[in-house]
Amino acid sequence: MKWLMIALLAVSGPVLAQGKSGGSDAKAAARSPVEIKLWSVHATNTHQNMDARLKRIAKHLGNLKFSGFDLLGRQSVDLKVKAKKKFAIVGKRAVHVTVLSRDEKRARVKVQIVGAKGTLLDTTVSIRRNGFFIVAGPKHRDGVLVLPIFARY
Amino acid sequence: MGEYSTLELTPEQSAKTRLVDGIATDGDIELLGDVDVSAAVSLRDDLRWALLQSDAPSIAAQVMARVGAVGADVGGVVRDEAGLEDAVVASVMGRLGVDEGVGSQLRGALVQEAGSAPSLWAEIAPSVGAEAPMSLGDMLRGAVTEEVGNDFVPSPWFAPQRNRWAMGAAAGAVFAAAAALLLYVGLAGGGDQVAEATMGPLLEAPVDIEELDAGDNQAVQVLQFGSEAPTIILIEDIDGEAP
Repeated sequence: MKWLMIALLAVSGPVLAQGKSGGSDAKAAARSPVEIKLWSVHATNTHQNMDARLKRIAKHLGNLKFSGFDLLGRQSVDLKVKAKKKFAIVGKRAVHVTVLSRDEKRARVKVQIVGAKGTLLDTTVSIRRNGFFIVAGPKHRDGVLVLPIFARY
Repeated sequence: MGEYSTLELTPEQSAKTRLVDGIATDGDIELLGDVDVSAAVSLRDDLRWALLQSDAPSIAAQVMARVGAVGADVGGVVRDEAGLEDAVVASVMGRLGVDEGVGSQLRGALVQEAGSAPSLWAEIAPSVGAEAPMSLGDMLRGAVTEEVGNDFVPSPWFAPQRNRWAMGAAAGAVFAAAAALLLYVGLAGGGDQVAEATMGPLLEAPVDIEELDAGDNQAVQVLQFGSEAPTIILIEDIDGEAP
């Protein structure tokens, strides 16, 4: 037990020291903005082309049962904690993004997708730093709309 | 007995009759001598011709119709031939039935005598990796439930070649977790599907879903392909209309 306590102190010591000295830095970082990127992708079966600008996420889009993917647009904004942004997307829909909080590893983001008939999706997610997730489903022309949402900071 | 009359022929008439029929004996020929039998032959031919011209009555159809309508008196035959009592005959005929075919009655009698065939599932089950007492239907239902969960909403969205674990949420369903809700599907080792669901956050997961609320008539599925893959939230209109 004695050796176990020593080992725990050896491991936690540097962390505690960093916490005491870097407290102000952590608070400042927590107030720094998060870059939210929203891509609008049209998934369709009318062709089998993958937009070259989607190369980074092509393998993930391949999970969807569509053969072709077109990038319709890219939007981005820097949002501070508690800030909210409305992204207008095709089909008279809108994506409301609110950054609730952030830390070194994750950003908590509230995402609401609103269509002509009301709210389609209302979710709060914790995105890994520089990570992203995908919302898919709203119909668009002969396919569906796929919305990759990134959190960069 | 009824009354009837007889006509006795003379020896000469009898010999003449046999002569015209072609069966005359030497005595008949000697007896008749030079007697002219042409008239008798002519009469015979006329009678024969008259009989051939008359339509023979077709009795076969009438006989068969009559027989068919009456049916075989099986009970009577059994009673007469075996000398059984009426009660026994009635019992036998009751078992056979009067209007039904013997075939169905015979099958029923055989099943009743032999009993139902034993189930083959006990012999088949081990070959398909199941236990004999286990219901095949329950086994399949259990497997499906274990794989996809009770709220799974079938969707044609995903390519069938990919292993996946899907969680479906009906419209208005809200997922709220104290820490985070993680849905994670990993392909580990040789490709065996490993499905994990935990309420605690895992740092390697791209997204933890804390709350998830779909609009009216919306179905939601959350999917995760691999530890480094982005979480995918699918929304689909239940009525098939564009959301």
